[in-house]
Amino acid sequence: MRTILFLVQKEFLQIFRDKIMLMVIFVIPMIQLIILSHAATFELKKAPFHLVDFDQTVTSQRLVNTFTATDVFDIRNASSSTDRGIEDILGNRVIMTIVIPEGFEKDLGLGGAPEIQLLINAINANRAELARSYSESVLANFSRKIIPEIEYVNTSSKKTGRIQIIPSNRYNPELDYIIYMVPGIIVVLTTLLGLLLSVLNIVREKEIGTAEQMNVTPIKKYQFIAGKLIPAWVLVMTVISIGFLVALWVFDVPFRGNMSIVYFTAAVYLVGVLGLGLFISTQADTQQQSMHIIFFIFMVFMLLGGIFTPLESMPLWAQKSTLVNPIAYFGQIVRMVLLKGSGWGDLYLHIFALIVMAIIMVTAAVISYDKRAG
Amino acid sequence: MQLLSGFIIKEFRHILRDRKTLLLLFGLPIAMLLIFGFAIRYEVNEAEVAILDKSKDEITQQIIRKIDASSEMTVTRHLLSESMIDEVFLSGDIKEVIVFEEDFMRSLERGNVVTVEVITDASEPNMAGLLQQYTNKIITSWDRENDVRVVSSNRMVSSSARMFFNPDLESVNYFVPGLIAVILMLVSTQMTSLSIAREKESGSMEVLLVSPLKPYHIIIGKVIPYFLLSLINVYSVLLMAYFVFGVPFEGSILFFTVISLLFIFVALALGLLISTRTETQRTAIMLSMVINMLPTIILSGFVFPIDSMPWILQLLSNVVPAKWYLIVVRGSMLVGSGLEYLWMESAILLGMTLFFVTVGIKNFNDRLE
Repeated sequence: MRTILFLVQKEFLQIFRDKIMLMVIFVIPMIQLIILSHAATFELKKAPFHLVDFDQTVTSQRLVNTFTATDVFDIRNASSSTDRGIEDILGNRVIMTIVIPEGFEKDLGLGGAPEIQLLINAINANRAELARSYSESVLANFSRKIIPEIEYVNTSSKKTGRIQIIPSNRYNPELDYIIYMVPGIIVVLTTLLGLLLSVLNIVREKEIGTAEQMNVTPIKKYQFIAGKLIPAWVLVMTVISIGFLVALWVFDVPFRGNMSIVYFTAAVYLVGVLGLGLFISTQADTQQQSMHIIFFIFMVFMLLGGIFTPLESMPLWAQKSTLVNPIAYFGQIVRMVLLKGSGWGDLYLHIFALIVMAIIMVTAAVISYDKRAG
Repeated sequence: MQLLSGFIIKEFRHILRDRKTLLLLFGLPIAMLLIFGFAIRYEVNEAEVAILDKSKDEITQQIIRKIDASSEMTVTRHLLSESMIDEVFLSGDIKEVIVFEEDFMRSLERGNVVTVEVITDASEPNMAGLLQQYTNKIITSWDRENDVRVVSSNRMVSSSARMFFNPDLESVNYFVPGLIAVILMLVSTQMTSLSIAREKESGSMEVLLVSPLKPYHIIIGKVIPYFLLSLINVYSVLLMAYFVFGVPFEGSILFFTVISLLFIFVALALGLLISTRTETQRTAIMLSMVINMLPTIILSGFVFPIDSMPWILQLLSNVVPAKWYLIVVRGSMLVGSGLEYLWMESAILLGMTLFFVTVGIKNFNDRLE
């Protein structure tokens, strides 16, 4: 036990005397958490459009006002030439050009159903679709408002049933993205720190040559691994805790569930993450190699782990791959506990999976560390 | 000059000698592009939906079948009571519950307004919004087909939309260029972030310093080999995008190559700057990964559209090199715009390169004195 304590002490000393290292572990991640959590939104807000109004009447002006009255669209430019509108799309200055045909008002008054044209910049398919569906709902609103005003009262309407859809969003009725992103970014940042702290560790000693010195000491393999794992675990758990405080105080993320679940799983999860890092570290020849490998693994876990894009937006084989993806489990657990208040009973399978992974990874690290090979 | 070329050749040998690392250097970008290109879509795929059908008649069955048949949603559970809604949400798999009221069909036939409640698990707001849209579309299309709905006036201003550059709304066309920018940025920065830190750590820095090489020789000698090797990465990802993912390439290869080289130079120079500031490889790696990874992914427009961010983040995104490169890549691939439209982006990348190189060399000089 004392041996492990000395090793732990040595690791801490090595980290704490390097100022840049301290910044990388404690300061930069928190700054990123605070700033980047605001970035993640898929809504359209003040999306610029170009207006080509060939009609130039009161009614067409009212239509334009209906567009700009929403927070979704914002008029950037207006001209009387469709080509100019297309040019703005080409230059990426607007997301959409709205073309109102000549005779728009007259047509409406005569009982027709005029059609306006939307030219949409579809480089980003997702936003293009959003712009179109928002525009359609703006047009529907406009029609509902203006048509009864100009129409003769329709007396012959017979009574027919219709279906009304009532949407409601549980747990987050405002569809606030920030409270969704904050836990995700905490998970990503702490995983990255954990992986880096562990993966660079053993291979570094190999590269500098201090690994040989360790190998001739009577330190046992498990003591050596424990001496590497514990300091990193303590550091990253501290960062996670600071992250949760930021989530609570800065972002007002609702803490609906039982925090002991989050802490228990974080503890287990980190052991697995660090075990994975140490295992790769025993296998790599240089720090550069271990960096490339861990970068790859991290990117795969993160981008296929449902942190930034929903798991359901992946094809089924990729959805299945989350069964062996620790970030996916941990991300789900943290979000479900914080945002919904899920309990042990809802999450035991996730937690069990993380425990199994932790055991496998640490065992692999201990076994693969070969004192004779250096 | 001969001095410099000798140094560059030596650096090249260093890199080429380590086969494993070289394999990782060229293999990983390809592997990542393949995995993410196939796995990440923006379309929702078979999200699990539960039904609470209090009526169980022909019409509700028809609507449920329609929802199940859509590619976006699949019906996996039937609930018996309202109290089960929270339960299924808490255990996580179900993302939406659709509730049909009692006597749905009869009430509808009698001419009443009947309600369908669409409840989503909005702890994933993005998903919730999309599912509301999909469900809405399916139910409205059902009632239009069956003509149950006559609003007081069904006359309406309609619209016809024309999608520019990506008419089928393929998200892969949007995603792959972003992936190229992110991968090149991260891999290139990592390459050079080690270079000088490694020399310091192994002690060979001293040897370099007493050699007749000038500081800027050392900097250039460290960058050039990686610069040339990165070209392979640029073309390998570009060819994959074109042949494997069928992303069009409308622009000019020459323009694309020049801007890509400029971009890679920015990334390499940033790595070098990190390397001059750090004493050990470990610190260099951690700094380059932690500082670079999330801002490049989040603020470049790769996943999240920059236009919908708060203004302060839009401002901040301007210092992320990948943002500018991404605009150029998307422009060259999907639109075919060249320098006449993208001169500003190109100029900014050029400016960033000059900035990082100057600061890098100056930093390096300062350290030596």
